[in-house]
Amino acid sequence: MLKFSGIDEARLKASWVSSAEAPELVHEFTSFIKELRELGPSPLRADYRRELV
Amino acid sequence: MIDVIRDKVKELLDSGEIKGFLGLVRKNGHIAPHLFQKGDDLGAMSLGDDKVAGDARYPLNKFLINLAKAYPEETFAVLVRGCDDRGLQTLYTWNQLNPKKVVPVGITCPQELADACECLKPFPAVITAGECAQPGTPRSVAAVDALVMSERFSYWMDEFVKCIKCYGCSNVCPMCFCNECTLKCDDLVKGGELPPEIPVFHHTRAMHMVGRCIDCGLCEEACPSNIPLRTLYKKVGSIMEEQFDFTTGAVRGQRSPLNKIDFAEGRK
Repeated sequence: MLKFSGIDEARLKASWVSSAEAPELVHEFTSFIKELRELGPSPLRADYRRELV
Repeated sequence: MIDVIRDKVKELLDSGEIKGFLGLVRKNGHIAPHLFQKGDDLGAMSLGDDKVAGDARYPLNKFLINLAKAYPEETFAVLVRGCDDRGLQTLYTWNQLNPKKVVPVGITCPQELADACECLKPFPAVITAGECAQPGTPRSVAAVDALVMSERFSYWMDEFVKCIKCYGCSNVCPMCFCNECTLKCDDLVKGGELPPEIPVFHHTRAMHMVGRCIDCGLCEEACPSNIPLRTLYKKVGSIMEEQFDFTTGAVRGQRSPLNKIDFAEGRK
């Protein structure tokens, strides 16, 4: 659906991590943050309402 | 076609098989939903074709749910097109209607309506009157798929930004029957803001249409801002077909594959 709406799929990530796997969780977060930094600011940050009001 | 329906309804009412027939009536120059009961004049009955075919459709199944709740012991007949029939099958699986208390009176859609709706099955399973039209050709989803990513994004955002959050899409939707709605939850959708948070508002509704949307297109007809909602939900439906080989309401008794809990409990 994201792709259909023109939003990069890489901006959404779902991972299954147990509460007992802290290092795994940290790894998921840090690697995803790194990926997002590379992608740059989200197009959704633009304020679409302001153009209208 | 309408004479066949009138005869069928008269027969059902006279036999006492049904308490009433939920259909459409032409009254004061408008077509509106109406419950025909025994002894009523069936002369003003309409099939929802005002100026062009199918331009006065209503979510009759939605009214039927309310009727069934108020009169759980009674059996009602209802006018169904192909989409309404898919709706009935789906509402049965969601326990919103009891198939033993519903008598569908099926009509087919003419080719022009099937083409306009891009409907893949413009006729119900049991046809009381009418000839089957050919399925419409899907175009709208492919047209968006043909755009490059950035164009798709601005296409949808330009559409969504027109939303006045009137809830017309969910109010008219025959498959929107939840008592509590995510989109009406203050914590999730902030009140008093127009347009609502986009595209989240519309994507939320799209996600909730998974395994539910029967592609009747009433949402798009109801939308005062002409947002192409149907295209959005058609995409949802096509993903369900590709991934799960599931078409909502196509097979009687078939539940959405996302209702996995049923399988876990060993129920069907």
